[in-house]
Amino acid sequence: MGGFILRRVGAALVVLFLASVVVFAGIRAIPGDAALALGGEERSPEVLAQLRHKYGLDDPIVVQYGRWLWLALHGDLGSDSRELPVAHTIVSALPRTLELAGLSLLIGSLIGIVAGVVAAVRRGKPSDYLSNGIALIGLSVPHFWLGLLMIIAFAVKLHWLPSGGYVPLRVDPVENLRHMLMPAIVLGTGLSAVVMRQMRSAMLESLGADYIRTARAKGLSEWTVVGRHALRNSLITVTTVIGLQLGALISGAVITETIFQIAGFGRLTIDAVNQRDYALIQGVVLVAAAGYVIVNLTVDLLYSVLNPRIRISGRPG
Amino acid sequence: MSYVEVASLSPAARRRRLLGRRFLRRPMAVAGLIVVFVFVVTAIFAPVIAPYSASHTDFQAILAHPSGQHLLGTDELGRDIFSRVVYGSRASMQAGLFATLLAMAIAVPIGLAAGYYRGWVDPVISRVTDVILAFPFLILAVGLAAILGPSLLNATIALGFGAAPGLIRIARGEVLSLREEDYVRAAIANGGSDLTILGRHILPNMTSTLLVQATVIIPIAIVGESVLSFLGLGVQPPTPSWGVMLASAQPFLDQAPRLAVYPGLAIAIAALAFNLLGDGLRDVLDPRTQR
Amino acid sequence: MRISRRRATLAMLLTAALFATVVAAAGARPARHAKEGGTLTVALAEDPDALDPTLARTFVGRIVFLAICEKLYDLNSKLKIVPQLAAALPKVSKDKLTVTIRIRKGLKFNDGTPLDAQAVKISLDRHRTLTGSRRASEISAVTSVDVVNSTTVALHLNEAFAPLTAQLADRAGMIMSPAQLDKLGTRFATNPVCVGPFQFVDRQALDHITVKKSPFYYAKNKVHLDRIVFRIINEPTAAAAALRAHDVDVIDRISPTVLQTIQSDKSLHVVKATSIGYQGITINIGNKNGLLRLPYQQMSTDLASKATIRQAFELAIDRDLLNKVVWRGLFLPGCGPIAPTSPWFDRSSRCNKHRDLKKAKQLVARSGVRNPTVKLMIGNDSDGLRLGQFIQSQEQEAGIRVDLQPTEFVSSLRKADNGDFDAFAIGWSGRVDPDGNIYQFVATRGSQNDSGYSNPRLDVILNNARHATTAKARRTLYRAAVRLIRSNRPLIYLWHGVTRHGVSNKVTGVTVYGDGLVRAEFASFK
Repeated sequence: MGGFILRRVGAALVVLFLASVVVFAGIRAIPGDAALALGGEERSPEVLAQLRHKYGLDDPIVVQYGRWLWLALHGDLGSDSRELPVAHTIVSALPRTLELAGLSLLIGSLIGIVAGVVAAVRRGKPSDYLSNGIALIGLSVPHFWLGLLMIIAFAVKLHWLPSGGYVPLRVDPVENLRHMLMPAIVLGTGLSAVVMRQMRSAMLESLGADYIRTARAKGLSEWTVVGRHALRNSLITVTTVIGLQLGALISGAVITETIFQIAGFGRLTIDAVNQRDYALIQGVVLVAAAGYVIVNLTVDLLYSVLNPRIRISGRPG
Repeated sequence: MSYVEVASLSPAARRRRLLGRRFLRRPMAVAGLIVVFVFVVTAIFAPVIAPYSASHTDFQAILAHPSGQHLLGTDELGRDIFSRVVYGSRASMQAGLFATLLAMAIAVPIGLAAGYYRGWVDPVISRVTDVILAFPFLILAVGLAAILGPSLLNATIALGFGAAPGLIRIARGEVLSLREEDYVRAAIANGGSDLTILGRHILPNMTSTLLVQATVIIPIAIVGESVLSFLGLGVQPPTPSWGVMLASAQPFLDQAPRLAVYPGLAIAIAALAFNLLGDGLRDVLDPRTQR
Repeated sequence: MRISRRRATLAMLLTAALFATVVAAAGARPARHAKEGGTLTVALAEDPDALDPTLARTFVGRIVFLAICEKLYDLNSKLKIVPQLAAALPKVSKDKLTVTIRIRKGLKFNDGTPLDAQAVKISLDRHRTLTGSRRASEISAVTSVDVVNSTTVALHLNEAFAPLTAQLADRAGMIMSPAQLDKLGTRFATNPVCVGPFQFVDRQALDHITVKKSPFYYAKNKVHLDRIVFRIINEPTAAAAALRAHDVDVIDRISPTVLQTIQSDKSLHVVKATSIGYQGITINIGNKNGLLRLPYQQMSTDLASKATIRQAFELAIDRDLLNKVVWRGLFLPGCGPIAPTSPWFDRSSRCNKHRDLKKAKQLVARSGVRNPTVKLMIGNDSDGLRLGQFIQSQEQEAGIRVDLQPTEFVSSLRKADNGDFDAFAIGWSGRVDPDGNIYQFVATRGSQNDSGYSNPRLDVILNNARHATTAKARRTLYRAAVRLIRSNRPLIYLWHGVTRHGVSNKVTGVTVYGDGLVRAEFASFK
C-alpha cells in the first residue's frame, strides 16, 4: 500500500512540475516584448529597459524559471499589476469559490443520487424515462444560460433573490446563502446530470448482481435490498465520479462567478486575462493546476482504499 | 429488388443496412439527427435563410418586441435577433466540427502509438496527457486565449486541445483491447508492417467508437465556444455568436429578457440534438449494450 | 386655589413662548446638520490599479486617492487650482526656472509622522526617477528639487513650464510618507500612507477597498463618516440594482442604459458634471513605425494624405444628431479639446453642431479620390458599436466608406501606439490645464501623439504656451493652437462627456467637479 501511494504522489509531483514549466514558458511565449507585456502600456525605451532589468528578463530563461520556482515554493508568486501580492489575492479569493463549489457539490450530488436511485428502482416506468430526459437536458443546457434565466425569473421578475454579489458568511449567513443559492444551483445542475446517470447505471448493475438476488430470495424487504446493499456499492462508484467532476466544477465556477459577480478565483482568472496581468495569470493557472492535481490524487487514493482491486493490478477492476 | 441483387450485397453494406434500420427504430435518435441536419443546413445557407444581415442596424427599432418585421425582435442596436441567431450557428457549427477534428487529429495518432507500442512511449505519453489534464479545461482555454489572443480560431484550437487528452485515453484503450484480438495477433505473427496492421485492422475497427466520441465532443465544443465567446475570449463582437449575444444581453435582462432567451435556447437545442444522436449511435454501434 | 387671571395669562404666555422656542429650536436643527459616523459604500465601475501615486494610471484610482492621498494643490468647484498641502500658490522666479512652494505647517501623514519639505522632496524625486514611474513625463521639466527650509521646497526646471501647478494638482503632487516608503519601497501600494481625511485599511483585488477616518487629519471636523468602502461592481446593471436595493450608497458613472431606472427612483438622486475632457476621432497622419519613433512619416491612407477628405469626414457628422441617437442626448456636442465649462474655453470659437452634407460631398468630389475608404477602430462593446455604426451611416451619405474595426480596449491602445490604425474613436478624461488636453496628443514629441502629427509651427505655439506666464498670453496662444489643430484635423473632436453619479437620498455632501471624480470624503448620512 505504501508503495502505491508513493508512486501516485511521485507521479503527481512530476505532473505538477511539468505544469509549472508549461505555465512559465507559456507567458514567455507571448508574441512581442515580454517587458511590454509585463509592464502594461509603458512605451519609452528607457523605462522598458528598466522594467526588463526589474523583472530579470535579461537573464537566461532557465535562471528565470529557477528564480520563479524558488519563490513560488516559498509562497511568493510575485506582484500583480496593482502591486498587490498575487499569493495573497488568490488566497483571499479562494474561499468564495470553495464555498460555491462545496454548495454546488452538495446540491448536485443530492439531486443526482436521489434521481438516479429513483430512476433505477423504477426502471422502465415513465419516471425512468423522465429522469433520463431531464438528465440529458441537464447535460446539454449551457449552465451560464441557465444562470441568466434564473436571474430573469427570480431576481428581476420576482425579486426573491439578489441578482448577484457576495456577502461573507461571517458578516451575515442568511444573506450569504441567499446570494449563493442561484449560483450553486446553476453549477450543481451539470454535476447532478452526470451523477444521476452514473448512479442509475451503477444501481442497475448492483441490483442485478447475484448477492442481491440471494437477498431477495431470502425474503428481505425491497427497501433493505435497495438501501443496504445496492446503494452502498453504487455510492463507491459515484464518489469517484463526483471527484472527477471537481475539475469541471472549477471550470464552471469561472462562468458562474462572472454572471453573478462573485469576486472569487474564477472572476480573478478572467479579469487577469482581460487585463493581460501576466503575473496574476501565471499564479492563477499554477494554483488551479496544483489544486486539480491534488484533488485527483486524493480521489485516486480514496478510490484505491475503497476498491482494493485496482491497487494490485493498477487498472480499474 | 431481385433476389440476386440482395444476395450480392457485401457484408459491410449489409451491416450498414442493419445498423441503419436499428437506428431508425429509435425516435429520439432520429429526432436528434434531423435537428442536427437543420442546424448544419442553417449554418451553410445562413445568408439565404436570414431576412437581415447580422450587422444591419435600425436605430428606430431598438429592443423591439417580436413582430411581423422582426420574428424574434431586435437587440440594443436594432439588429434582428432571428438573423443573428441564424448567423450565429456558423460559429457554433464551425467550433463544434473543427475542434472535434483537431482533437481527433491529435489524439488518434498519439493514442495509437501509446496503445500499440507500449514500452517507453506509453508512460511518456500518459504523463504528458496528465499534464494537460492537470489544467481544468476552462483555465486551459483561458490561458491559451491570453497567449494567442481572443478569436474564434484560437478558441477552436483551445477546445480541440482540451478535448484531446480524454480522447487519447479512449483511443489508447481501444488499441489495447484490439491488440488482443485473434486476427490482429495473427497479422503480427505473419510479420506484417506496423503501418499495415494499424491501417487495415486496428483503425477501421475503432471507427465506430470514434464516431460515437465525436458526437460526445461536438456538443461540448459547441457549449464551450459559447462560454469562451461569452467571456470575451472567443468570437469578438460584433460578429454574431450565440455566446456573444448572451454576453450583450446581460445589461438588458430587466428590459428585454428575450435577448438572453433565444441564443441560449439555440445552444441548448443544438447540444441536445447532438447528444440524442450520440446516444442513438452508441446504442446501435456498441455491441455491448442491449436495450 | 383660584389663580388670578393675570397670573394665568402670564403662565399661558410663558408656555407659548416656551413652546415657540422649542419649535423654533427643533426647526432650526436643519437636515444640514450632519449625522456623525456610518460607513459609506461607493461602487466603482472598475478595479483601480496600483494605489501608488507614482505608478497609478487608472481614472478610478484617482477617486480612491481623493480619500487617502491629498496633494500639493487641488481643484475647486470652479475648476480653479487652490492649495491643499501647499500653503499658497507657487512662486515662480524671474527667469521662470525656479518654482518655490511653501508647505503648510503641522500636517501629519496617516502614520503620525510629520509632513515637511524633506518629505515633499522625497516624493517628488520618486515621481521623477522611480523605475516605471508614470509621473516622470508629467513633470519632466523638473530637473531637481531642493529643500530650502523645513517648510519650503524649490523646484528647478530646465525650461519654463506653466502647466506645472496643474500637474501638482494631480497625482504628481501627491506626497507619500517617507517612513512608509522606507518600509515598503515598491510595495507601497499594499499599504499606502499619505496625508488624507481617511487612511487605508485593506484591499481585496476585484472586490473592495476599505478606508477609515484618519485620526491624524488636519481638518477632522470636516470628516463625518467613519469608513468608506469602495466596492468594485463592473456590470452597470448590477451596480444600479445594488444602488436601488440600498446595498451601496453611491455609484460612480451611471451608464446611459440604466440612467432611467435610477432617475425614476424617488429615493435616489443624480449628481453630474460636464467633463473637462473630450471625445472624438484620432486620425493616423504620420504614425508609421510607432509612438515617438521620430521622424514621423506621411501615411498614405485616404484620410492621412488628403486634407480635403478629412474636412469632408468632419463635415459629414452631425454632432447634435450623434448626441441624440447614440447617447440619448445625455452628452454635450463639442468641436475642440477644451470644454465650455473650463475657465480656458475660448468663447470666440465657433462650433457647428450640425453637418454640412453638401459641402462634404463637394469636397469628396474635389479630392480626386475615388471611393475614399476609412478603417475606423472602435471599442467592441455596445457603446462603441453604436457610435461606429452611426458614423458609418453618416459618412456613407457623403460618399466615404467606413469599415469598422471593433477592438478590445487594451488591444486598441496598443495598436494606436504602434500606428496600426487609420482612425481611432477615443477620448481623454481631461486635465484642468489646457496643455494637459493638447500637448501630449499633437506636439511632435507628445507622449500620446498616436496620430503621428508633426507641425513645427504648432510645436512653437505650444512650447511658448508652456513658457508664458500670464493667463492672457496663454489664452491667446491656445486659441491659435486650437485653430491650427481644427484646420489640420489630426483629431476630430465630437463631444464632451457628462459624468453622472447615482447617490442615495440618505447621503448628503456628495459632489462631482468637471474632472469627473465623484467626491464623497466630506459626505455624511442625514
